Amino acid sequence: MKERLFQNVKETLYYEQLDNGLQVFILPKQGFSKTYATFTTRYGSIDNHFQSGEQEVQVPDGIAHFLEHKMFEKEQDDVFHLFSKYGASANAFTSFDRTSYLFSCTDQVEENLTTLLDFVQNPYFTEKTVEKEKGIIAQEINMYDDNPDFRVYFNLLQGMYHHHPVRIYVAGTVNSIQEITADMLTTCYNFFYHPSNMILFIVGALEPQTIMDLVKKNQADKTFPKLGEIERYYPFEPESVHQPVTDIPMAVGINKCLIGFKERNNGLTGKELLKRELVTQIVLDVLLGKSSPLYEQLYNEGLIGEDFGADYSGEFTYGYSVIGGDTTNPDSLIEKLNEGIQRLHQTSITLEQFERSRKKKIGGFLRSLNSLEFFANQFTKYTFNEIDLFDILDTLDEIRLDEVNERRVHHFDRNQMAVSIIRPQA
Amino acid sequence: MLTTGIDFKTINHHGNNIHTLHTSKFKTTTIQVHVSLPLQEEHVTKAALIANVLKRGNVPYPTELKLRERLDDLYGASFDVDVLKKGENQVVVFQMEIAQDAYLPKGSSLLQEAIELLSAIILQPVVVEEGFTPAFVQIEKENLVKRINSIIDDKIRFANLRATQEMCMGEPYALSALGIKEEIDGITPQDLYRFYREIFLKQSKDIYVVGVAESTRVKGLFLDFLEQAKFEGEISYAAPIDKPVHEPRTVIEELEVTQGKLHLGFRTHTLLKDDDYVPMLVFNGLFGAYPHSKLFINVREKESLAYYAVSRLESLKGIMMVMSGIEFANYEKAKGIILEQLDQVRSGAISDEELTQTKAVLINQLREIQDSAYAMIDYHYNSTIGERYRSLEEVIGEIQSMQVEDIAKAAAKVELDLVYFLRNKGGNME
Repeated sequence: MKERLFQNVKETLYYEQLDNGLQVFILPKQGFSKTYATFTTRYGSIDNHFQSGEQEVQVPDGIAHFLEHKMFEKEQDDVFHLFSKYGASANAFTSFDRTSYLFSCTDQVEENLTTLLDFVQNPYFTEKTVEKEKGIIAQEINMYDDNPDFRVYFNLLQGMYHHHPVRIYVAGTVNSIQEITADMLTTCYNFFYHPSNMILFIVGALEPQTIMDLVKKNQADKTFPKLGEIERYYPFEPESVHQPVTDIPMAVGINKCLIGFKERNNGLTGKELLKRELVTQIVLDVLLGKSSPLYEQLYNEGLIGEDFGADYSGEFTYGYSVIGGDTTNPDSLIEKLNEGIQRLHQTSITLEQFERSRKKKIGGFLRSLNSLEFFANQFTKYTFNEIDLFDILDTLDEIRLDEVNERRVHHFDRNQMAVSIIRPQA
Repeated sequence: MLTTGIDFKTINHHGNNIHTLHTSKFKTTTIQVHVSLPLQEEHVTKAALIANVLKRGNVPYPTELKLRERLDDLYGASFDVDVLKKGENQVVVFQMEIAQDAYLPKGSSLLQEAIELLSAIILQPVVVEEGFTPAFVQIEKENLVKRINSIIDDKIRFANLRATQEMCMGEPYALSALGIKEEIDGITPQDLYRFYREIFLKQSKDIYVVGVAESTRVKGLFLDFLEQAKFEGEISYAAPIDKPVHEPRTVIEELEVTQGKLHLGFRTHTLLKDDDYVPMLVFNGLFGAYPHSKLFINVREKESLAYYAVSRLESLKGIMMVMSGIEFANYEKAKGIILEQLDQVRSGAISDEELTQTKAVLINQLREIQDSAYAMIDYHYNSTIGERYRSLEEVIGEIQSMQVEDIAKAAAKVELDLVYFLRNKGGNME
């Protein structure tokens, strides 16, 4: 078991990769009452075409999410019951890139950790239980369809991307899930739920050696078939934007408006990817953060509210910025934002603006570190991209003004821009 | 490692309370200033407006932009305001969170600067002709209207608001913490400033600091603030009104909704300061607070009548609200099952498993409070307003030793006061 001390944030991380390939990270937090654990596979909604050795597989959209649902149903036990018996609350989620199973508790950590490992590593899929779930997930998809915040976001993704699977609802579509079978779930499970493709992260009130020993023993008692390299295939995605404007009516009380900028250069990992994320967030903050003149102008004109924001997501095969929120007048908002972006191109970001934004990011990062959930989820997400969460403060320190100004011009390009609007139905 | 302390030290100075919890387990220090007013029609709307207007500008930082720049310079200090209802009090909250010195470049020390900034926001507003800046007031009036409208758009919150208004008609609790929409338009910058000088500044203030914050140092840093916000007299909070229930009423309303919202209001006749508060807490947990509770299991799982069926306890007022989203046609059936579950608990029909699970989950929730500065402040402040402080150990101990009879007794006190049903227009009731 390796030990790494991070002086700048006063944390110590324990790590070991087990014989079966599982990466285990343990972060003890002095003085905390809670323990939070996540068991995550690097398998999400975008992974519907893959190969290992001779076997090439293409599966319907929404299968990773479907699998997550079915994981909780076992022949004998009710998984939620197993957790609440020991006072733990459990949950799971599926995103574009990963599926995570988690619990939090203040007592009986060892029992709950064992339950977590065992239930995820004992799949139970039958045709009958698969059929039953289709109706429930169809309702879930309909619920998202009715949700205007969800729709305006996905319309933006569909506007930006021609073919990349990030444009599809994580849960799939009502039609795509009809094609899912128990055999397909088993195939996907065998490919992606192999320990070598997974990360276990445990943080909170615990003793590292005891926990690591428990995990090692639990894993040593199980056998897993050998797994070769997995190749993931994504369709060719042109640089250009698919549909620059999507504008639909819905039964809402207020307009919703989002602008997106699609990443041109993908394929980054590690520190490069982290740095690009931080630099882009700094540019967004200088342009539209609460201490920016543009935000003040939009707010004082009554165009935007408290929910207005801007963020950037960057993964290995895709990346994009999203700006927007509720608005009294989407056309006016877009006009003002376009003017702002034009000004952004014409005027460099000053050292003062850059330093202020960087300081703000330091504070924001430190605030996040109070949350055990943030540690587990963000660390896992970053590790799958070969990024180390604990590199953030040093990386922030290394960023130079010219890098920020280069990104300002390169990323916020009119050719890479898409708009998504939802207006109240007449 | 089960620590069981929410150990605030309280100092009273010039009439105001300063509560500090000195700990290094977080990477930030959290500061909250609570100004508490009795919920009253005459000033509820002005109180809902005031904090957002104060946020717009003060003498050292006359625009919000300048304020935000200053916050960013303080290593991204976060700042926000809120207004809540706690029992029959309206509480205006100012909160700031700063990084601790230990994680910043040498020489940075944010606590004093943060407290000075907070004091300026609360005590040195920009004043123009005996009133707040008209442009600030105008925008915030519009924002308050938007905030109230968004509750109306959210049908569950709307139903809850209406059920509370009907059940507590004539009691201060019927008022929303966001005020009365119709009154907003008529408030002038001068009215608001007068309210601020003559009423707002003279209310009970509780200051909370959690982090690397030793109590006498904090008091020292707040001295100027306390001098200016001097408070003559005893700190007090409005005590809640309890009403005896004669006959439960039913109110049915119609709107364009696709799902019926069934809300049942109960009087528990039990407050946080009462000896049987903890049994009532366990009763609520067993009855409807969790996915293993009677309401979830019987209304949703067994009968598939609802996607959600929950109960929520308000121990600063003495009521419990049951909320459920159902098909219109299932009104009588759902109501029947909910009331039947209450009877079940009253008669002691509680399995060992239900009891063990409820205790485990409730204790887990309580222990987790210690992992959040906000949760600890809320816990302590509720105890302050509710006039009784219980340590976590005490509450957990009482929960662990609770028996079926104690819970049945608590259930026996609970009385149905109001049935509220929000349904679509022009339908029939089965």
